[in-house]
Amino acid sequence: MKYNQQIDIECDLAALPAMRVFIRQFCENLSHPKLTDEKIHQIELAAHELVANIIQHADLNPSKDKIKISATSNHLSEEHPTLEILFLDHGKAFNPKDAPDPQFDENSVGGFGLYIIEQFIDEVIYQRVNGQNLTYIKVHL
Amino acid sequence: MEMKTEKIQDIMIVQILSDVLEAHNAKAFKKEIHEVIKDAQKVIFDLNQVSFIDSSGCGVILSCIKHLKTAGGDLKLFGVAKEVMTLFELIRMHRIIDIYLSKEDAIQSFMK
Repeated sequence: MKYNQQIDIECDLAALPAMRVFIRQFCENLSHPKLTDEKIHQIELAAHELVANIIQHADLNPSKDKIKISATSNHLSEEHPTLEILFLDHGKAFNPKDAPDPQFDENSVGGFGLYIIEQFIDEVIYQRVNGQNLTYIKVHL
Repeated sequence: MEMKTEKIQDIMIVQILSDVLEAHNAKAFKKEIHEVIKDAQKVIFDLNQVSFIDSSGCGVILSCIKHLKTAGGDLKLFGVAKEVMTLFELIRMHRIIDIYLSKEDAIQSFMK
Protein backbone atom coordinates (compact mmCIF):
# COMPACT_ATOMS: atom_id res chain seq x y z
CA MET A 1 0.00 0.00 0.00
CA LYS A 2 1.25 3.47 -0.83
CA TYR A 3 0.37 6.67 0.95
CA ASN A 4 1.38 9.98 -0.61
CA GLN A 5 1.00 13.63 0.31
CA GLN A 6 2.39 16.72 -1.36
CA ILE A 7 2.95 20.33 -0.47
CA ASP A 8 4.36 23.39 -2.23
CA ILE A 9 6.13 25.80 0.07
CA GLU A 10 7.29 29.38 -0.37
CA CYS A 11 11.00 29.85 -0.88
CA ASP A 12 11.24 31.73 2.41
CA LEU A 13 12.71 30.73 5.78
CA ALA A 14 9.38 31.75 7.32
CA ALA A 15 7.85 28.72 5.57
CA LEU A 16 10.03 26.25 7.49
CA PRO A 17 7.65 25.74 10.46
CA ALA A 18 4.77 24.84 8.10
CA MET A 19 7.05 22.45 6.23
CA ARG A 20 7.96 20.74 9.51
CA VAL A 21 4.29 20.40 10.43
CA PHE A 22 3.67 18.71 7.06
CA ILE A 23 6.51 16.22 7.58
CA ARG A 24 5.59 15.58 11.23
CA GLN A 25 1.91 14.97 10.46
CA PHE A 26 2.79 12.68 7.56
CA CYS A 27 5.08 10.63 9.81
CA GLU A 28 2.59 10.56 12.69
CA ASN A 29 -0.11 9.20 10.38
CA LEU A 30 1.97 6.19 9.41
CA SER A 31 1.24 2.85 11.01
CA HIS A 32 2.69 -0.62 10.61
CA PRO A 33 5.19 0.32 11.77
CA LYS A 34 4.31 3.32 13.89
CA LEU A 35 7.29 5.67 14.01
CA THR A 36 8.84 6.60 17.33
CA ASP A 37 8.94 10.27 18.37
CA GLU A 38 12.73 10.12 18.07
CA LYS A 39 12.58 8.84 14.48
CA ILE A 40 9.95 11.44 13.54
CA HIS A 41 12.13 14.20 14.98
CA GLN A 42 15.14 12.96 13.00
CA ILE A 43 13.18 12.92 9.72
CA GLU A 44 11.68 16.35 10.50
CA LEU A 45 15.12 17.81 11.26
CA ALA A 46 16.72 16.28 8.14
CA ALA A 47 13.92 17.66 5.92
CA HIS A 48 14.23 21.03 7.65
CA GLU A 49 18.00 21.19 7.03
CA LEU A 50 17.52 20.20 3.41
CA VAL A 51 14.85 22.82 2.69
CA ALA A 52 16.74 25.51 4.66
CA ASN A 53 19.77 24.80 2.42
CA ILE A 54 17.64 25.18 -0.72
CA ILE A 55 16.12 28.45 0.51
CA GLN A 56 19.48 29.90 1.55
CA HIS A 57 21.68 28.73 -1.31
CA ALA A 58 19.64 27.99 -4.44
CA ASP A 59 19.16 31.66 -5.46
CA LEU A 60 15.42 31.27 -5.83
CA ASN A 61 12.93 34.14 -5.94
CA PRO A 62 10.98 34.14 -2.63
CA SER A 63 7.97 35.90 -4.15
CA LYS A 64 7.69 33.57 -7.13
CA ASP A 65 9.45 30.24 -6.74
CA LYS A 66 8.12 27.28 -4.79
CA ILE A 67 9.74 24.14 -3.47
CA LYS A 68 7.71 21.02 -4.18
CA ILE A 69 7.75 18.31 -1.55
CA SER A 70 6.25 14.87 -2.02
CA ALA A 71 6.23 12.34 0.82
CA THR A 72 5.45 8.69 0.16
CA SER A 73 5.32 5.72 2.45
CA ASN A 74 5.72 2.41 0.73
CA HIS A 75 4.20 -0.62 2.38
CA LEU A 76 4.22 -2.82 -0.71
CA SER A 77 6.76 -4.96 1.01
CA GLU A 78 5.77 -5.52 4.63
CA GLU A 79 9.28 -6.73 5.34
CA HIS A 80 10.97 -3.58 4.10
CA PRO A 81 8.63 -0.59 4.43
CA THR A 82 10.17 2.74 3.51
CA LEU A 83 9.45 6.44 3.72
CA GLU A 84 10.58 8.50 0.74
CA ILE A 85 10.53 12.27 0.44
CA LEU A 86 11.25 14.09 -2.78
CA PHE A 87 12.26 17.77 -2.87
CA LEU A 88 12.12 19.63 -6.17
CA ASP A 89 13.39 23.15 -6.81
CA HIS A 90 14.33 25.30 -9.81
CA GLY A 91 17.39 26.84 -8.18
CA LYS A 92 21.00 26.76 -9.22
CA ALA A 93 22.72 23.39 -9.37
CA PHE A 94 23.94 22.04 -6.08
CA ASN A 95 26.20 19.09 -5.45
CA PRO A 96 26.42 18.00 -1.81
CA LYS A 97 29.81 16.43 -2.56
CA ASP A 98 31.26 19.93 -3.10
CA ALA A 99 30.36 20.97 0.45
CA PRO A 100 33.27 20.93 2.93
CA ASP A 101 33.24 18.41 5.77
CA PRO A 102 32.14 19.90 9.10
CA GLN A 103 34.76 20.64 11.73
CA PHE A 104 33.90 19.53 15.24
CA ASP A 105 35.90 21.93 17.35
CA GLU A 106 35.55 25.23 19.20
CA ASN A 107 36.29 27.26 16.09
CA SER A 108 33.42 25.79 14.10
CA VAL A 109 30.11 27.63 14.08
CA GLY A 110 28.35 25.95 11.16
CA GLY A 111 28.42 23.63 8.18
CA PHE A 112 26.59 20.83 9.98
CA GLY A 113 23.43 20.71 7.85
CA LEU A 114 24.44 18.07 5.30
CA TYR A 115 26.16 16.00 7.98
CA ILE A 116 22.92 15.95 10.03
CA ILE A 117 20.93 14.83 6.97
CA GLU A 118 23.38 12.02 6.19
CA GLN A 119 23.37 10.78 9.80
CA PHE A 120 19.59 10.63 10.15
CA ILE A 121 18.63 9.44 6.66
CA ASP A 122 19.44 6.03 5.14
CA GLU A 123 19.76 7.18 1.51
CA VAL A 124 20.21 10.67 0.07
CA ILE A 125 20.25 11.01 -3.71
CA TYR A 126 20.78 14.28 -5.53
CA GLN A 127 20.11 14.68 -9.26
CA ARG A 128 20.01 17.58 -11.70
CA VAL A 129 17.15 16.91 -14.12
CA ASN A 130 15.94 19.35 -16.79
CA GLY A 131 17.35 22.36 -14.95
CA GLN A 132 15.83 21.30 -11.64
CA ASN A 133 17.37 20.01 -8.43
CA LEU A 134 15.80 16.79 -7.35
CA THR A 135 16.76 15.60 -3.88
CA TYR A 136 15.42 12.30 -2.72
CA ILE A 137 15.69 10.94 0.79
CA LYS A 138 14.75 7.45 1.88
CA VAL A 139 14.27 6.08 5.36
CA HIS A 140 13.89 2.39 6.15
CA LEU A 141 11.04 2.13 8.65
CA MET B 1 13.45 36.74 20.10
CA GLU B 2 12.37 36.85 23.71
CA MET B 3 14.84 36.15 26.47
CA LYS B 4 15.03 36.89 30.18
CA THR B 5 18.26 37.52 32.04
CA GLU B 6 19.09 37.06 35.68
CA LYS B 7 22.35 37.73 37.53
CA ILE B 8 23.59 35.58 40.40
CA GLN B 9 26.84 37.11 41.65
CA ASP B 10 29.00 37.36 38.52
CA ILE B 11 27.06 34.68 36.62
CA MET B 12 24.56 35.69 33.95
CA ILE B 13 21.68 33.30 33.34
CA VAL B 14 19.81 33.77 30.07
CA GLN B 15 16.44 32.10 29.72
CA ILE B 16 15.69 31.58 26.02
CA LEU B 17 11.94 32.07 25.67
CA SER B 18 11.50 30.73 22.14
CA ASP B 19 10.43 27.16 21.42
CA VAL B 20 12.57 27.04 18.26
CA LEU B 21 16.11 28.15 17.41
CA GLU B 22 16.43 27.65 13.69
CA ALA B 23 17.36 29.21 10.36
CA HIS B 24 14.31 31.48 10.41
CA ASN B 25 15.18 33.23 13.69
CA ALA B 26 18.92 32.47 13.98
CA LYS B 27 20.05 35.84 12.62
CA ALA B 28 17.89 37.80 15.10
CA PHE B 29 18.86 35.45 17.93
CA LYS B 30 22.58 35.89 17.17
CA LYS B 31 22.34 39.67 17.12
CA GLU B 32 20.36 39.87 20.35
CA ILE B 33 22.24 37.25 22.35
CA HIS B 34 25.63 38.75 21.50
CA GLU B 35 24.33 42.11 22.70
CA VAL B 36 23.20 40.49 25.96
CA ILE B 37 26.48 38.64 26.66
CA LYS B 38 28.92 41.22 25.28
CA ASP B 39 30.21 42.33 28.71
CA ALA B 40 29.72 39.00 30.50
CA GLN B 41 32.18 36.20 31.17
CA LYS B 42 30.28 33.50 33.05
CA VAL B 43 27.08 32.74 31.16
CA ILE B 44 24.44 30.04 31.47
CA PHE B 45 21.70 29.43 28.89
CA ASP B 46 18.42 27.97 30.13
CA LEU B 47 17.05 25.97 27.16
CA ASN B 48 13.97 24.56 28.91
CA GLN B 49 11.63 26.33 26.47
CA VAL B 50 13.49 25.20 23.35
CA SER B 51 12.01 22.08 21.78
CA PHE B 52 13.50 22.36 18.27
CA ILE B 53 16.95 23.49 17.22
CA ASP B 54 18.73 23.15 13.87
CA SER B 55 22.31 23.58 12.64
CA SER B 56 21.85 27.37 12.43
CA GLY B 57 20.69 27.51 16.06
CA CYS B 58 23.64 25.34 17.12
CA GLY B 59 25.93 27.68 15.18
CA VAL B 60 24.71 30.68 17.20
CA ILE B 61 25.32 28.89 20.51
CA LEU B 62 28.80 27.89 19.30
CA SER B 63 29.50 31.50 18.31
CA CYS B 64 28.60 32.52 21.89
CA ILE B 65 31.03 30.11 23.53
CA LYS B 66 33.71 31.15 21.06
CA HIS B 67 33.17 34.80 22.04
CA LEU B 68 33.07 34.03 25.78
CA LYS B 69 36.19 31.85 25.75
CA THR B 70 38.08 34.52 23.84
CA ALA B 71 37.07 36.94 26.62
CA GLY B 72 38.32 34.49 29.27
CA GLY B 73 34.85 33.28 30.18
CA ASP B 74 32.71 30.23 29.55
CA LEU B 75 29.20 29.14 28.58
CA LYS B 76 27.18 26.37 30.24
CA LEU B 77 23.76 24.99 29.34
CA PHE B 78 20.91 23.35 31.20
CA GLY B 79 17.33 22.32 30.44
CA VAL B 80 18.26 20.59 27.18
CA ALA B 81 15.39 18.56 25.70
CA LYS B 82 16.09 14.95 24.69
CA GLU B 83 15.83 15.62 20.94
CA VAL B 84 18.01 18.71 21.23
CA MET B 85 20.60 16.70 23.18
CA THR B 86 20.65 14.07 20.42
CA LEU B 87 21.63 16.78 17.95
CA PHE B 88 24.24 18.28 20.30
CA GLU B 89 25.81 14.83 20.65
CA LEU B 90 25.69 14.21 16.90
CA ILE B 91 27.68 17.35 16.13
CA ARG B 92 29.88 16.91 19.27
CA MET B 93 28.68 20.11 20.94
CA HIS B 94 28.59 18.29 24.27
CA ARG B 95 32.38 18.03 24.07
CA ILE B 96 32.75 21.79 23.66
CA ILE B 97 30.03 23.06 26.01
CA ASP B 98 29.31 21.72 29.50
CA ILE B 99 25.67 20.69 29.80
CA TYR B 100 23.90 20.25 33.15
CA LEU B 101 20.60 18.78 34.26
CA SER B 102 19.64 21.69 36.51
CA LYS B 103 20.20 25.39 36.96
CA GLU B 104 21.77 24.73 40.37
CA ASP B 105 24.32 22.31 38.88
CA ALA B 106 25.23 24.81 36.17
CA ILE B 107 25.68 27.60 38.75
CA GLN B 108 27.72 25.34 41.03
CA SER B 109 30.09 24.49 38.18
CA PHE B 110 31.07 28.17 37.99
CA MET B 111 31.55 28.39 41.79
CA LYS B 112 34.22 25.67 41.91
